[in-house]
Amino acid sequence: MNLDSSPDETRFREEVRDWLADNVPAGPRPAEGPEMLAFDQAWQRKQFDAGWAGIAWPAEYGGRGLPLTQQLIWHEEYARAEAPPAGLFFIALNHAGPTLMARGDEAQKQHHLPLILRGETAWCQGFSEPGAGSDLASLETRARIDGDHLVVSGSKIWTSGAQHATYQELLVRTNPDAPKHRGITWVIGDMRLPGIEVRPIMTMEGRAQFCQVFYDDVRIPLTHVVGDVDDGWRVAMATLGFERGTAALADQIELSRVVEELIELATRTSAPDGRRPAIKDDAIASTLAGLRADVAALRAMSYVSISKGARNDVPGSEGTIIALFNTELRRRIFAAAMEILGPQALDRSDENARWVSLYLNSFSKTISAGTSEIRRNIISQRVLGLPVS
Amino acid sequence: MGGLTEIVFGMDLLPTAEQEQIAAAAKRFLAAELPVGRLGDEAARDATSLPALADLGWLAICLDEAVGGSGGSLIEEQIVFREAGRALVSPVLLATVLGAKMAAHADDLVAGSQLAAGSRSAAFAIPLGPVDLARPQGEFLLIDGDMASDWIIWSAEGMALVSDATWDSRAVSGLDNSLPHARARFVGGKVAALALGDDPLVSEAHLLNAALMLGASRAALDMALDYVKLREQFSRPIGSFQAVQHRCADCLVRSEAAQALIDFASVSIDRRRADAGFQARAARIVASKAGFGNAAANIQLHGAMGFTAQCDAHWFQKRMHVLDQLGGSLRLQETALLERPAA
Repeated sequence: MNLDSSPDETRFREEVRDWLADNVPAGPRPAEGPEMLAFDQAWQRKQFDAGWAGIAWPAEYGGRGLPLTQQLIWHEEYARAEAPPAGLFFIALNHAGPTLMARGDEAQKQHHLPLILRGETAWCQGFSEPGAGSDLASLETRARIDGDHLVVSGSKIWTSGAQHATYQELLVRTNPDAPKHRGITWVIGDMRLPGIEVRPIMTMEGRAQFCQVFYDDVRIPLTHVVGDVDDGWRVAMATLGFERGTAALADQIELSRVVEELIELATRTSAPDGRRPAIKDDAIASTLAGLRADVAALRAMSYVSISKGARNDVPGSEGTIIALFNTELRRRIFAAAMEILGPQALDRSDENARWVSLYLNSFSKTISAGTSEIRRNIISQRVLGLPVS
Repeated sequence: MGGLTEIVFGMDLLPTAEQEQIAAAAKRFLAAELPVGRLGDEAARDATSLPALADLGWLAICLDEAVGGSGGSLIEEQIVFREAGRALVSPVLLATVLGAKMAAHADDLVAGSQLAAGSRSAAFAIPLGPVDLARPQGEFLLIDGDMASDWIIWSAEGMALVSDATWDSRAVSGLDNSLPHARARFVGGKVAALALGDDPLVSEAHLLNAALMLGASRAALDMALDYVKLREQFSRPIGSFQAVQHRCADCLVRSEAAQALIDFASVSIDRRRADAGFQARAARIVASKAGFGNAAANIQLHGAMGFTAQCDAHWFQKRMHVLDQLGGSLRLQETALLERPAA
């Protein structure tokens, strides 16, 4: 075990810190609408122009190809600088891009990867359906082959950012007669094609963060299939592997900062009895200390995961363990904010309303990209070796 | 805002092959010599095993060679303590190792060498009220101290190594009935060494205690897993039910979180990084939640059998309560962590 920095790494950290200090957008990220897309595009473009786009992507695809330790330094400094999230480019950078690199053909890579890195095309993820959530492989959006096209009919749902995306990772059923995991195809869906209708869905937080997407005989060229027809499940699992690997690292590191902000909030907000700062309330103090310890553990788990990645480069089952810990921890962190804010939390025009939004949004964390229940199933069956029920 | 300490690295938080061998050897030795089943046996007393543990080098892993040390690091030491935690080895192991470190640090090479060799041993005297470590007074609980010649008084403020102590004591029955307990008034003795506040020895003590708790959490989970894979109800193993599986998954997550942070904190303390005190206490907090959480889950998953004295599950729960009182309970650790600057 070793944590020592090399002189190269120290120099790299200084370079990153200096660039971020000069370039992180000053204003807040718009919470919705075309302004949000424009903001995310501009920030991605700025990183691209300075050579910071795709730090984990290999150089042959226009990325920086940084070793894991330097990626980690980047993410740490990124969090420290309070740089904005990848936002609408998260799927493109962390799912779609890596999937194309792994399974796409030359034409697909040449066309899409530069567009993603330059911040031109946001992607969304067309996986879940009204009848296929945790049981994703039961998806029913149908694609029949007609000449050199797929003709897609059906519906996807809970598609984050669909109203802003140019492309979609689309899973469709090409063979309804095959076993359910074997008749699925992964195809690049152009969101501008005729026959696609996007209907935003209001979340409990009060914004249309995700959508239902309807497909009415949408014709997609077969050249847009990634991997082989009917082999889309394996392609999709690779994508989920990325998500559960290092992609969430920045979020995990950033969570340390969130807890420190929460501690600050508790020092300038009154305790429930109104007679002292909230942080002097024993129960709140106990909660905050527990959260501080838990985010420290989350960071350490990330570092262990990276150490494993550095040794064998295959994201293992530890990704699911970290994801479960991370998402459940987020729920507790933002619930603590509500406890600290007390009655102020009821007023969403209050200056602290951001915490209320984060709290409301936190309910999605233990549902999206795998519910806590599914994650516990995976851990108990694949890691602990308990019998499948 | 600042707040994030630089962490990085030529980073590798995984054990080396040699460290893995140390852990495997310790696990083998303890499974053979000190199985958890021994705890119900009146005759079994871990303090008598200290010389054997000393022969393995466990009491002197990161001591100087001047006091018989092997020049290892806290990283190897916590790996061994994790295994000792699995076997619920008596806290006299931790007390004696801390005593040797404190004596060596205070340049008492004779006491340091003797403690490191297991030819004398230390035990914990848990204060039952506020205590001035430089001038101890008042009531204590002595844990497994029948053979001890030295005492560790460890409060939230720090640790004192006390030699030649005289106690006005009477044996009492302990919550952890595998360990002799005595209730004692401190009559007199010599404070041979002190480690206060952010002294690295205090961080090491918290870290090693956390490693004991982590080991207990792992062993409790392993015991539960063995049982739920075999025990059948409704014509199938109870481990096939999701309600049981999810409880087990949560146990693993707690242990993994504790282990990652203990590994990280051990490197941080070893390198004398600025965040060492923070990470050590955070590790102590996360480990105690793993230990308590998994011990209780193990009892629950064993059903009525788990509630019996005959089943070993209760030992993990009881020992966690003892470990949690070393250096101040979880609640005091939380207060201490919150008072620190961010790491």
